[in-house]
Parts: sequence; structure tokens; C-alpha cells
Amino acid sequence: MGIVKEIYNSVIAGKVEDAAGGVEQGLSSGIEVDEILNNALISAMDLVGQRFAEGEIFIPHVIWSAKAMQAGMDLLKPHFSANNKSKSAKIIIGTAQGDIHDIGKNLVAMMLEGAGFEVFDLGVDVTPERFVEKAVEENANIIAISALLTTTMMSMADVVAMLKEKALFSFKVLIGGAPLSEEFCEEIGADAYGVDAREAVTKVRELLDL
Amino acid sequence: MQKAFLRKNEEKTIIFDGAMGTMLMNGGLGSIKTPILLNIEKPAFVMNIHKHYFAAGADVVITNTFGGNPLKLAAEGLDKQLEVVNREGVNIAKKACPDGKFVAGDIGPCGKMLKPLGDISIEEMQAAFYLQANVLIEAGVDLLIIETMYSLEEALAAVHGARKGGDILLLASMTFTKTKYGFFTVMGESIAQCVSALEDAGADMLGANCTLSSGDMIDLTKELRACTKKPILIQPNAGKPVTRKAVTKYQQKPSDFVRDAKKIKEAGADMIGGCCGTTPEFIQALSAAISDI
Repeated sequence: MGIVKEIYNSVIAGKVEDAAGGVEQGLSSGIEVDEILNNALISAMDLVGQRFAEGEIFIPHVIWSAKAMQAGMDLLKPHFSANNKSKSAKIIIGTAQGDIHDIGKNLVAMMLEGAGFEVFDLGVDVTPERFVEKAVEENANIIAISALLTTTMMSMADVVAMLKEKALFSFKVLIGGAPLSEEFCEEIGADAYGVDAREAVTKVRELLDL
Repeated sequence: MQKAFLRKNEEKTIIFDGAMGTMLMNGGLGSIKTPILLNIEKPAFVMNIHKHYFAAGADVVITNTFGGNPLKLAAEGLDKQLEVVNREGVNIAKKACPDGKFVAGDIGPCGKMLKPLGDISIEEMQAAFYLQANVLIEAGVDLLIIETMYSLEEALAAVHGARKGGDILLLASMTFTKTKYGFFTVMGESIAQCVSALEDAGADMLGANCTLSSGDMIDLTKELRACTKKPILIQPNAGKPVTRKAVTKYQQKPSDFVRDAKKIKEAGADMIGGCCGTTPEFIQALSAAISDI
């Protein structure tokens, strides 16, 4: 079995040390960074996300896979060329103001990193001002907001309104969380709604035409 | 009191109350960051909700202490308020409680994940549950309800912690999702696995609540019933939430909820209540329909 396939399998199995060891071995034997990134790390997390969405695996497995992917990614990052960097869009992510639930948000953040994007995690209880400020600071492509509570999801509308008010039309807003829906997304004028972590990645790719 | 509760459960299907959180939201208080603070800021408002549920036919109301775990309070900078918010939550419910009815002290998830996935040790988690349970028991609840647990390990930490808090009737209710392979917690634990571990840990009664609507809860009840002889409590949501014009509403009507509740009863539930989106109207309809079976 080739080393790329071995890394791919390690990420799917959630084996952190094996994944890191594989990436080291791959790099030292001269395999292209893009090859490892796309065909091992990202495609493995795609499958993990798909299995999670279909109820075949559960949160602990996803977290171990994400940790394995992250360990590989940390080793790859110093070798990223300008080309890799320009391909990976910047995403600002956080839990809506008033909401301290971060399990779903962390999963989405890990899946987005796994998909090769540069993710800035602002944590929980993030004010609309902070989302917008950080997006401007990093010249981000997307603001991703999570909420578990029906009481806090309305602050997502405040982010959308603030962007409009400041005429910051280049930032796309992606929303997700248990009480949300496509209808809610349309109503508040957000750009996309992801029903789960895997769909969040799909929606980001769609928004960015990737 | 424990005996009185269990005796009542032999006489009839015990009716629990409906939602607290979604009632607070619809009560004109708008967006509420920390519902448990209302126990000290607007106690009359909380008491009124309990009174409505008792008047609607509930035998048991659950205290407004879902978010009262010290780890959760600490995440919101409220760790010093642990005792007062939990104690007042119990006092409010007890003041609203008529003779012969009951107050269940609510214990929700702590908001943290255990090591190695998260950063909390099992000892720290157990200690946190113990602290909350201790306040609730001291304040005089008739039973404790550990609910909306999406991780069996955390539920076990809660049961062990609560058991250390004192000799109290203890109900543990898990939250399951429906997959094509059956019902599992989001952490991947099956109903049978949860039941067996929770019984071994010392839970007196078991339950399932939240996430699933009443239709899916019928099948879940059959499976749960087959796994345990202990009394079981089922608390479905009122369907899935939809938001229109900045107002969040749950889709189900009381009549749909009650139609399914009868089947949940037939499937073997000993106690039925409502989770997110249910109101006193749901409980009134439930109580009227179930009292004769």
C-alpha cells in the first residue's frame, strides 16, 4: 500500500500518531504536498464527514479523525507553497452571541480545516461586531456562525445586517446549528445554511466556487 | 416522599410538565442568555409557569435549574451564584406546588467533554454534578432528574455525583438521535448500553427526552421498555422548530402530540411529559387523554 493511502486510512481510523508518522515519511520520500493534502487528509475527512452524516460513526470517532488530520496538517503547513495558501480561503468561525455551546462549532471548524481552509476560531458568545471586525482584519471570505439555542440564533441576523449596513458585501455568511433551517437562513438573508458539519464544507465550497 | 411518588406511579401515568426554556422565550422576555438567572431576577415569572403546568394537570414540575451545573455557570462567569440560583429554583417550584404533587430538581449537561476528547477529568465532572445535586437535595426536591444527556459517560458522572449528594429518588434521561441503524446518542451509545450502565450506577428511573418528536418517540419507547423493568419517563419535543419573522415556533399541535402520547403510553411509558416547544396546553390535553389509561 502506498504511503498516501496509509495516511488516508490512518485519518479515517482516527490514529493520530500513524497519520503524523505517515505524513513525515511521505514528505521525506518526496511526495508532493498537494498530493498528501488532497488525496490523503482532505479526502479522508470527506469520507469521515459523510459517514457521520449517515449515522455510521459518531462524535468521538469524528474527533479522533480530526485530530489525526490536524496532526498531519501541522506537519504539512511549513511546506505549503504560495499556491496552496491562495487556494485555501479564510473562514472566521464562532458561536453566536449569548450562546456558549461549542461542540457543533468545533466539529465544523475541524472539518473546514480538514478540507484545507484557513480557519480562525473566535470561540463562543461572539458579538456581531467581533465577527465583522475579525473578518475585515483577516480579509476573510466567509463568516461561519453556530447556535444551539433558539434564543441566540437571532444574533446571526445582526451579523448579516451589520455587513449590509457597512456595505461589506464581499463576506459570505454561513450558518448552522440544531434549531436552524433553510427557511431561517433565507429569512435573515444569510448566504448559506449547513445542516451538519459535512454540509458546512460543501456549502463553503459552493460559496467559493471551488 | 420517595414512596409517595412511586405509589402514585403505580396508580396512574404520572404527568410531567412541558418546556421551561421555550416558555420563557415566548413569555415576552425575548432573548434570554441565562434562563437560570431568572430564579433570582424574575422569580414570580418562573413561578407562574410552574403554576400553569400544575393547573394543566402536571403531577410533577421540573425546576428551572437545567443550566445550574457549576462548570456551565463558570463558563458564563456565574460560578459564585451556584448555590443561590439552584436553591431559589427549588424554592420557586415548591411554592407553586400543591399538596400531593411533586418537584423534580433539574440537572442538565455540564457543557464540557471528558478527556481525552475534551479537557475535563471524570473526577472533576462528578464533583461538579455532586455540588449541584447537593444544593437541590438540601433545598428539598422530591426527586432529581438528570436529563438531555447526550453522552453516557457524562450521564454516569451525573448519577454518581448525585448519589453522593444524598439518598434521593433519581431519574436519568438520555437524548437519542435516530439513525438508519436505530437510536443512538450522538456519542454512539445504544439504548441497551445506556440502560444497563445507568441501572448499575444506581438510577432508580430512566427516560428519554429532547431532539425526537413524539412520532419517533413511540418506537424508542418500545425499545427502552424492552431493556428495563424500571419506571420510564418519555418527554418528546413538539416537533421541529421553525422560525418565522424572528419568532421561533415548534410545528406540532397539542392534538398531534396527544395522539402520539397515547401510543407512547401503550408502548410502555410509565410517565410522560413534554420537552422543547410544549406548553401548558399540551400538558392539559395530555393529562385529559392519559388520565383514564
